[in-house]
Amino acid sequence: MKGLLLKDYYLIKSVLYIILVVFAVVGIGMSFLTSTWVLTVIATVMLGMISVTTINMDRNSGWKKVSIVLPVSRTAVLDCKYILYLLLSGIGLLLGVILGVVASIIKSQIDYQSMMLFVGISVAMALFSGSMTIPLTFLLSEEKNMLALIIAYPLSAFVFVGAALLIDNKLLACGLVTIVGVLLYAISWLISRKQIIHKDMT
Amino acid sequence: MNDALIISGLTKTYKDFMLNGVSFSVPCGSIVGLIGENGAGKSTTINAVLGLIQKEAGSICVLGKEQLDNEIKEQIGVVYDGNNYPEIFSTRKLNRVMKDIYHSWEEHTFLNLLKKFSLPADKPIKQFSKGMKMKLAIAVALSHNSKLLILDEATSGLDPVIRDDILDILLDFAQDETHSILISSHITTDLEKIADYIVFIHEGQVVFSKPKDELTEQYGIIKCGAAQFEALDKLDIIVYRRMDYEWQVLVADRVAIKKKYPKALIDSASIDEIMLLYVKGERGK
Repeated sequence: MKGLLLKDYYLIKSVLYIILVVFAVVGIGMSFLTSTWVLTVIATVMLGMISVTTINMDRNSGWKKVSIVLPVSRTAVLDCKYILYLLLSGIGLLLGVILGVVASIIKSQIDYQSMMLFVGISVAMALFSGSMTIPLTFLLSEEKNMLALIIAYPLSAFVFVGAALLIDNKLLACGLVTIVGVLLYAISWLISRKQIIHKDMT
Repeated sequence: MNDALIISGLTKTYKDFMLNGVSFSVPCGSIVGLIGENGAGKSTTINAVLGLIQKEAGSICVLGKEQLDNEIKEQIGVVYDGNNYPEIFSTRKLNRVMKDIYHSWEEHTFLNLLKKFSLPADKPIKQFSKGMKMKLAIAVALSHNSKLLILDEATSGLDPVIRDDILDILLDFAQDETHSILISSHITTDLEKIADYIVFIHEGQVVFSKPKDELTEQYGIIKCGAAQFEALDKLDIIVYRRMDYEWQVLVADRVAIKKKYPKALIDSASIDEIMLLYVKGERGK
């Protein structure tokens, strides 16, 4: 597992500069147009997405086939992606919160309720989309998983907006969606572990 | 343990292809060449051995075990055709990763092999030629105490010099009696140089599995006209092919056939010719 994570670390390091530039441009622009806390959502989702990107990088580099013949189980290869997703999303969330606090201080608009709301949105969005994109990218062909990537994020946003419209208390709605997100992520992980054992990996 | 790999009745069905009851073995200390045209089932067989695909029937015993667990995987070195590792990696980074994956990783062996193969430590793999990438994959495969090497079309697309280098490396590896190699290739001349046994797969089935020397030293091809062909005992014919101006007939024992038909023109048969006759010819009765 350690070797697999190290491999992903090297992969991520190679694309991190691009991600950070995109994050800086999009995040700073958005934070001035809307709430400063939107940075948490962008950072969490963007960093989490890198984990999914490494799955396609593995496929294109031939590593996916190699990983099956390494002395690690198939489930360990999958677990690595789920763990990496949580790690990166967590780092993104932390980074987003720090930047949000800094931006709020600069704009003199510190609003902890908004912060909690956006942290909830970030976690829910990351878990919802991750529970779809990781298994689909891992188990489906590249053409099909592109479709999954396109659908996953709007669908996650739709679930959140739906909950917010149905429940007046936004924090409560956010909390509920986050709990559902955690459950969905865990279910996705468990199902994928069962699927990968019998899946042809060529 | 006499055989490093035993495949028995291996079956796998796809929409338009079926691997049908493939059986053969790789004796310890030997090199087995898996030949066949593109799409014959060589890679499917190897993928099943390596656990990349699920078999529908049959059994596969690798290094004495039917279960391909991590202990067995430690002892198998695999080289695929094409890319094997992320191209942004340098060999130095690959070494660090593999060190954390293989318990039996031998860093000094890997570094020595890199030196021997003239592979740079800090260049990204994307700057390597195809031959260098293959050598790197072989270096990795040889750096964790592998007992069984499995190479899938590892020499295809390489120039003759690099291919020769790689064949030398494989021959060197097979000097140890506990080491075995299964290598698939449609470049049969490579296998003629190094293989001890040849397994020929055609349309998902094993046509033959024989010692290479038997094929190259005993098999023969009679080149004759229609009248001479008609005069041949059909039981002597393995396969035959009608060409524009002659008939080509594959026989199992060219010395015996020469005695039986003294006037017949009989040449020795290369593995390429044997394969071609099996694929394009018709079976004898």
